[in-house]
Amino acid sequence: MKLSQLLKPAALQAALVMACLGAALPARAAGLLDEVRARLALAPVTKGEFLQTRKLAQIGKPLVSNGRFLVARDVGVIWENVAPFAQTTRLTKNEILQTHGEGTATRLSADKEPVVGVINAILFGTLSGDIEALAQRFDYSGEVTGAAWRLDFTPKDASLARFIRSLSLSGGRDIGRVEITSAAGDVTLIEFRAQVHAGELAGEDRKRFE
Amino acid sequence: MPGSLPARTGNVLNKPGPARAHRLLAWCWLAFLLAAAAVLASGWAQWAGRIDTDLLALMPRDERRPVHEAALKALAARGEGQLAALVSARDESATRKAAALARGALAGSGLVERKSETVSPADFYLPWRHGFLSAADRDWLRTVTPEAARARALGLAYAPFTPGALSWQDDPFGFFGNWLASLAEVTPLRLSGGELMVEHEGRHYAALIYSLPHSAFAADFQHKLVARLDEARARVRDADPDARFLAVGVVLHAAAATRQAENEMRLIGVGSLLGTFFLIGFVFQSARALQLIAVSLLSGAIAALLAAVLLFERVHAVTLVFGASLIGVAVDYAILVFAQHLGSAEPVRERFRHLLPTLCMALVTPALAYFALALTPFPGLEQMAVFAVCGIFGAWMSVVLFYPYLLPATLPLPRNAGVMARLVERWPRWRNSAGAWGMALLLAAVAAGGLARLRADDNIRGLFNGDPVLMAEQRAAGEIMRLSSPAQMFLVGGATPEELLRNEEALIERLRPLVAAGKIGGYEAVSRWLPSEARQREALALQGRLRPSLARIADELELPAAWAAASFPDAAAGTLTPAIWLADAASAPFRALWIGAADAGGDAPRYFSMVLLQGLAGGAAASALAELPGQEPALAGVEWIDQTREISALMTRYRGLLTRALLLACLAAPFLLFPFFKARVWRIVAPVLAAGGMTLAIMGYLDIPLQLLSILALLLTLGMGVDYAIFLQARQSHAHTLLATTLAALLTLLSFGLLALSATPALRALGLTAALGVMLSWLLTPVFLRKG
Repeated sequence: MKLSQLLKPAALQAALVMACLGAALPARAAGLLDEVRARLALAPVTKGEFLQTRKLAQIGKPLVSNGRFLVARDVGVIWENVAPFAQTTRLTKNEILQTHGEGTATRLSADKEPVVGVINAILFGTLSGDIEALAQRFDYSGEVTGAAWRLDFTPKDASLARFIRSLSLSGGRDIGRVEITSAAGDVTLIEFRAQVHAGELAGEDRKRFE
Repeated sequence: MPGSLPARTGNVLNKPGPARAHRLLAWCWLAFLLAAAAVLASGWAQWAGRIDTDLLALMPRDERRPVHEAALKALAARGEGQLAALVSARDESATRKAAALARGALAGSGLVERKSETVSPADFYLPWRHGFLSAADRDWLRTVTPEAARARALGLAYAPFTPGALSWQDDPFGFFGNWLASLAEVTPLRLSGGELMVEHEGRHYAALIYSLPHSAFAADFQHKLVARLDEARARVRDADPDARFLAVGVVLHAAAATRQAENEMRLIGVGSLLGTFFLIGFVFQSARALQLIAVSLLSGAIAALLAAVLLFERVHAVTLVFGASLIGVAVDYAILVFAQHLGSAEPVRERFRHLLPTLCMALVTPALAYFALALTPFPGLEQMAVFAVCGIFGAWMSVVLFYPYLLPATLPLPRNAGVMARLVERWPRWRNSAGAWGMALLLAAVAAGGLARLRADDNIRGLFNGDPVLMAEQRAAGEIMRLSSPAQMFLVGGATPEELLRNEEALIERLRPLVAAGKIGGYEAVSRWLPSEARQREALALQGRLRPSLARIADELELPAAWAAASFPDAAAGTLTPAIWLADAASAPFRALWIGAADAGGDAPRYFSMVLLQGLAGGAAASALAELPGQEPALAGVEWIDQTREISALMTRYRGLLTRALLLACLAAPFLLFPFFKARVWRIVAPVLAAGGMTLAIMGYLDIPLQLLSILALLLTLGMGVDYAIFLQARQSHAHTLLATTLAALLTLLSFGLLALSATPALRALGLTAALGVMLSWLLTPVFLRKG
């Protein structure tokens, strides 16, 4: 209670993890979400490749990486960096498990590390295309042109804006591109490729979440 | 009143000197009473506002350990200014709506909601950020390999998003972000969509945190506040029948205590007054007697209230409730005078001269007994003692100074006086016979059985308790918000602030496994926000080891070489000092934990801080913590404080002390009374001691535990019982005196009996024991009267 002043670092986590703002969305904007949802073919399981370009503030050369990803709705995300180095991050509801190339693992639990919740919520929302969840925490605008769409999100809470400036998603049947701008000015552009969908997790993929 | 003096009493006193002195004293006393009444009346509103209902104000002071006192006081002060309401409905969005309803109902109540600040703590800590490491990062750095360092920095650089206040290149390993995040462990409340939210056992709760205005302990504010909270509760429940509404705050206990005290004062005061006027009116059948009783009681009330407002900064409501029970004691003097007056032809002043020694003794014995209350270190009891002694003294003064002028020449013998006289004659009398001894032995055996069952209980709950509904709400809310225990803590000391912080950090190293094991929920400690200089230097040195790795990473990512060089300042860099931290608003919420320099009895002042513990459910965790400072390796400067246990220990100590005082009084009484009563002394002492023993035996059979207040009540009983016996033995006209003692005992019994109905355990124990003791004394005293 007396600690309210100290909640700022936790504010991001809070704003992200605790969903359901319950605020009615403006009719026009709700229409926009409906239109996007109509175009987006969300499957329980999506696999594919990604190409990430991260441009850090005040540093000229962008950091480029690529790898594979697996999104299983209600289960988790596996984010497998292949180049320039091997590192696998597995996000589930309660923890982040990071495995480095040489086999060392770091496990972060959401109970103890509030940061875990932040990363989870942002990546779950964006990678699984859960635009409703994002719309509860962000103001948004966007446009729909034929089969293509784009949504731009800006944080509703000032506390969230302290960490993230904006979030942008675009695509057609699939999410094609995600752009994240941090409050400090780091810009991350992720492009998804070769996406395939499945109705349920295949046996070997399921094992990866165990 | 004394204005009519010459006409009535012109030749009553034989000697003019004492008469003049008496008259002068009477005038002085009248002037004093009028002045005191005027003072009380003029400042009434102000004093009424100073009536204390905070139960903490009644807690004992332990003069032997001033630092403990300072710590507990600081802790109490921190809790006093706040009020929190927890709202929960069936799901998160319903909870948010319910929170808005509650907020609406509480608006305009004078409460100020604490909105989260717009300034991030990151801004304050930024200049010293390299001195801060979370425990996990510190452990990581101690064993870090260049490869692991590279993997971590690259992992973060290539992560899609790093949550933290700083850009990657300003915090390439995320240390500062992790440290800031670790600060949030201190509370489960999370700001989300403008509400402080917390999830507990599958329910969502919104917390509304309020600061109280300065007038928080004034009765009218409390009435208003309770009404608003009821309104908020009703609104939330109307919207959702499953909704929960929990309110916590010291002020709520105060409001409940005020309400309770008002009711009890009314019950005891009105009950005692009605009983007094009814009995006096019925027995003496004189309007003048009633007026005189009123004069005496009013004087007592004025004297007691004046002493209380002058001597104490705040008068506690419990004192006033107790004070109402004094009516039954204060009225005794008037009754004694009336009884001696019945049908007597002796001139008023003459009778008074005969009566004065008895009256004096009747003042001294109960006053001494009440005075024993002040010997304890419990501020509440001290107030009661002052209140009682001044109250009965005031009543006594008016009887002694005014009554000679105000009493009618004679009171008609009431019709029932004859009944009384016959009653005395027929009352069972002690005879030196086999039957009497047999009866006495039987009673003694029965009493011994009760005494064997008697047990002592020195728990704090035997003194003061809170409203059970409020206590339950407080427990529930405390668990949900993971509030720190308000009565238990570690007190950490050191010769310098730095030593203090190091001692604190050593303690926290030991607490961490307990938190991990779920034995305690968490802790609050200054060093969480203000690490010791040693620890900050260690953090700088540990991070310095990463410089070569950083240079490699800079190469790899083609970052300017200056970046790696600038990333970690060297060990000579400045550290965050207590002075800077304490002076900044960022420390405000935790400053109470820092006690600072205090005189600890040594040559130099020592510095102290508190480490508070959260989620301290059950006594098992507390007793494990109590042993922590002594376990090897021993923790320097760390002391466990358990207020509940300390108060109980204090109560045990003072119960022992007062028991010895009581035994001493019992032993001394025969010797003190011997010069006056010679061989008759046993007739005075025996009934009182028997009454005391039987009171204890009854308590044993009824399973009422013996505690500090029962011992005090027994002291009181001893004083009053001896009085009854003295009255009866001293006067030959047994019928009149028995009438007086009967009336006095009945009214005392009524007052204490009403006090025994109090919801405050201290008053209940006092009332119950005293009522039993007085009743038994009154029943037993005539048994030991001489025949004839």
